[in-house]
Amino acid sequence: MKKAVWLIYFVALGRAFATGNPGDSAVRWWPSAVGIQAGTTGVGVQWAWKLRSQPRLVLRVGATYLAYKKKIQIDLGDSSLIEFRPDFVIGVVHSSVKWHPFPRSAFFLTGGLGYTWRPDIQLELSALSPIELGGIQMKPDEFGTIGLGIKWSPVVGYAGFGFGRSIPKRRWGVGVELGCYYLGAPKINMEFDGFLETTTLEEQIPLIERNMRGYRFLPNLQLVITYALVKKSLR
Amino acid sequence: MKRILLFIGLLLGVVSACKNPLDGLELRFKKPYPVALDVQYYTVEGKAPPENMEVILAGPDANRLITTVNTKKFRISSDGALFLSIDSLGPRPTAQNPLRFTVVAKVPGFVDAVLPVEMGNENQRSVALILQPTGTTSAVKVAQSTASRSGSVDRDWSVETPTPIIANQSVAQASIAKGTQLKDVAAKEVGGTLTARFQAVDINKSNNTFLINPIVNQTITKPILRGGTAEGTNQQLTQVVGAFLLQIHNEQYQLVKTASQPIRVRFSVSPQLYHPLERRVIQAGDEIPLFSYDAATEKWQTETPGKVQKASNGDLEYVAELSHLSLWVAGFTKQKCDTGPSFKIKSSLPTTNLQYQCEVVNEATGARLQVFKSTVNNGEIIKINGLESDQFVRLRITDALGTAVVNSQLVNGCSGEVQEMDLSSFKKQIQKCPNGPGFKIKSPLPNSDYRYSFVVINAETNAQLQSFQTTANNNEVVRLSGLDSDQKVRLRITDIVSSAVVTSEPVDACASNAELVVDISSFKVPPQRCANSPVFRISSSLPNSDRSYTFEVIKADTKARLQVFQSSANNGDVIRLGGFYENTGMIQLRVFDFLSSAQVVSNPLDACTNVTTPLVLENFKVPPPKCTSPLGFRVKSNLPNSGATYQCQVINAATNGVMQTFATTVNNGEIIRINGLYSEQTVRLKIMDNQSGAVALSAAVGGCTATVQEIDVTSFKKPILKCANPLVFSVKSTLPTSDRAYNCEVINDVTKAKIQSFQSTLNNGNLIKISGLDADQKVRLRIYDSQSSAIALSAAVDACATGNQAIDVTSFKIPPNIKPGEVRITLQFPCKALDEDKLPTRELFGRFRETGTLQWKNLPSMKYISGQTAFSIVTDLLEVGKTYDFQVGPAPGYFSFSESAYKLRKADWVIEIETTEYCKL
Repeated sequence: MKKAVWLIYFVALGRAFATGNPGDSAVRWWPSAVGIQAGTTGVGVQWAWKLRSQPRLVLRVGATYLAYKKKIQIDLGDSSLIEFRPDFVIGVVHSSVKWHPFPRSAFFLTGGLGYTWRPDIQLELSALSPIELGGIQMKPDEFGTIGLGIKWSPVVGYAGFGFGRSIPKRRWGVGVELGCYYLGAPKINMEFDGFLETTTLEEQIPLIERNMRGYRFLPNLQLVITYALVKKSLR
Repeated sequence: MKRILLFIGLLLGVVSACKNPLDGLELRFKKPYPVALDVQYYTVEGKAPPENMEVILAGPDANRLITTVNTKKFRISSDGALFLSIDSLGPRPTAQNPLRFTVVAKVPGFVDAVLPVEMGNENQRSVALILQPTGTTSAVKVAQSTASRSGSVDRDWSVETPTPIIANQSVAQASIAKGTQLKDVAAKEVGGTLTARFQAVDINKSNNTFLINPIVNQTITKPILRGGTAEGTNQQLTQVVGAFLLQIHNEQYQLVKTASQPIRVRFSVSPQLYHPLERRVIQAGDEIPLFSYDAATEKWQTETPGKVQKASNGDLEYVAELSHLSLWVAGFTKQKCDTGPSFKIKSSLPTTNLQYQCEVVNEATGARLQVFKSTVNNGEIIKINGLESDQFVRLRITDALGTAVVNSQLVNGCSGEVQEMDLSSFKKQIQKCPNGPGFKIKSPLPNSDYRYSFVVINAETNAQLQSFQTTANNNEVVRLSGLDSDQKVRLRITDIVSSAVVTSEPVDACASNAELVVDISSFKVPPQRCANSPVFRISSSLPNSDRSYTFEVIKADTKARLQVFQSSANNGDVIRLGGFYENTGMIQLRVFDFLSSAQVVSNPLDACTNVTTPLVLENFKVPPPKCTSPLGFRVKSNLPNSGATYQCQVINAATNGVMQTFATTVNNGEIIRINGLYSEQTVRLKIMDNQSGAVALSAAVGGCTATVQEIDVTSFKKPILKCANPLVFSVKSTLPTSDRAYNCEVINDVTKAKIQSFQSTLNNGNLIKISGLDADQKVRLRIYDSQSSAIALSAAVDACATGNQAIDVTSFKIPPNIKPGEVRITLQFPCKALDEDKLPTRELFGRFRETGTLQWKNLPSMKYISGQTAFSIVTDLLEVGKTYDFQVGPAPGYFSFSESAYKLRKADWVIEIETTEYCKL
């Protein structure tokens, strides 16, 4: 269902910027560019179209992706080994409007919406060997497994600013963008067995959630390289 | 631009609003629920099961089960333990409203362990289950069939055990007829796919069943009587005909308890099987008792006995009809008798406290069941208890004074009848005479110290009763004692000179007033000591010397040695012999020369002669003279001078024999002087360093060498001198006087190395004496408090300091007393005070087992007492001297901390916790 919605969205977008008279096979191409980007939220691609009626406004769609999943073993000393298994994916499909407030300047402001299909960070922690705690040994199965998940809203807002033309004057252009995604208040999901099961940690999850209410923003710093597909309107 | 700044400001504001997620987090342990059931799973080899065990809880009340920390995350720990509690959301279990559930443990490679539980109270139940392996060699038959929704078995269903019911007999076959309706313990139908587990059980092996085998020492504990609810007495299996375990459940692990038609189980029985009640081998038609054990309720039930019948092949088989599924045991049993037989003694002997050997003898086996001692006076009743119902016995009493043995009539062990035993064949008791008769010697012989041989004999049998030697001078009285009564005795005296024998008249052994005359006038005069003795005068041409020679007095005829002694043998010396009797006869004196090996023997002469005989030392060599000055050895040493002494030996260089041994100091330049050497001797000086094992050996040198020799002891190690006196510390303490021992250490003040560790009481004014310290070091005494983290440390003192040093233990806390047989376990924090608010729990739960054994045992919970720095308990479950594995955690089943193979050396077991997390700053 979600895939169908996105398909309709892109088709509608295409129709908005490649228009023609009914029955006329000629299509008018508006100035547009493609770009690749890399930054704190991963690598991605974007398409940008300059609006016909408002040349200072540029509509763009794109996607970024960043993933990290690894087993990390940490030696706590005394032959105590624990393993962290962080697992997170930042995958955002976004649509935004860029506004160049100064006609002769590359500075722009931007805002938009995005959708992320796995808006969470997951972390698993377990012991690989007996853990030495205060001179007493805890067996790995008694230590148990701790699973921590932090989940945000899948629909995210975005605001930012930067320097760089969306449709370069020459064929290639370079820009930089600093912004922030608004993720909403996170929800904590903890799954654990073993030692922590005997504690009141579960009762403390609302407190942790309250403490993390401020963790609603995901900063975004991107370097963008753009390539102008259509520098001027073409018929 | 203003808009840009506003945006940046907003961003910074947002970021700075982030808090530490763990701000205000207080992590504590949950208060655990009481344990309702703990199950310990093992493999047949006695090891922990594989870690990937799955646990399933089924049954009507499974939803009431929780972990001890009120979660539903049920798990079996890596050492195979499962702990379950009952939630607080429903009524508590009672006998009228028990909680029923099934605990299923599944692990690949093993038969599912399906444990039914019926809890009629809140007492903790502990169960040990042995996981049985699957496969072709498995002793457990797993079969499947189906039943309708109403629980009716769809077809005739027959299952056989994989192994014989008993060695060399047939397997057991269970048959369920088509249409039999199966129900669970709550009388609900059990339908669907049915899984049956069927196995022959060896009751002597506790680890070969897939469910509980509760039989210990062949005993069926208090089985409920047939047709009732009352418990009977323990039944001990004397002959097991067969034991088997049958369990059926459906996919939901709904266990079958009852069947609408009997489930028939049959297996062969040995035709040699002995019927203890009929006292013959079994035959068709005999009934053999049957018992069942319900693992859910943990109760035995006496069932309708199975029957022996002829099988189609003509052999005997046992057939039991089961109305329910359990562990079943068929066999003959016995029980302890409430009342045993009594025996009334009939005897004509006088009353006495003499104890007689009594034996209760099993008629069938001849074995002595009981052996005891008892008086057997007339009219006494001997009551026998502790016999068993299948025993037919006799009481056998053996005469303590004779060989007579009396057996009672045959009687059953549970017979309360009184039987008479006639002991008239027993002999009257013989007692010792307090005093015996006297015998007055009548002799014409002169008095003498010669001792004659006396023998006391029984006047009737002539058996020798006593023998001794004494003088027999005229009018002397020889009085006997220690004789048995009821006999007449005679005294017999033998003269070795004349071989004459005199025997007295018979007299009662206890006749202390009697004084019989024994006339030994037929005896001859006994040998007398020699009035004179021979004298020898040494005739020698050798110069006088202090050398000693070896002399021997020998019999002239046999050359047997009579005397040997050492003496000088200078010319004119007189050797006077003595100690001979008139009958000693002819003697000779012999003397040896140690230089030439020559010997001189005198002529034979009478031992009582008073003549002086010259003894010429022919062929004797002149002995070399003693050295006029001592032999000197100057010590060459690079050790500092000390008062340490070393073991020295003077060694004969020719023979390596040790001539002298002494101890001396060996400081550099010292001269060791050796006296008493002779000029013919060549010697070495040997000095031994016991600490390093080094040995210094001088060159061989003549015994009379005048020049000082050298002996090199530079290979010796510096001696470690021990303090001559112990180091003494006087204890300053405010603790109450007790025999509690505290751990003490003596440490080197510079290196901090532990020199000694020991335990000592710490009563005020006690003196702690530390012996064996090496000199030349500063030491401190360190003592640890067992009740707090306090450590007492003395000032640094010289190890050899004299006088009392001080050690102050007034900071130590007063410990509670430990009674004998108790052990205190303390989890000790390294603090002077705990921050009680930080403590995550105030109660810890532990368990233990003897290292090398399987079964864990729960300990009482360890509670924190406000103001202390430790959790502790006192228990009588542990024994000092044994080795234990120990686990402790915040809740039963969550034993996060463990200690293995701990040797419990004292009653105060302190486990140091190293974290200071909970200490007051």
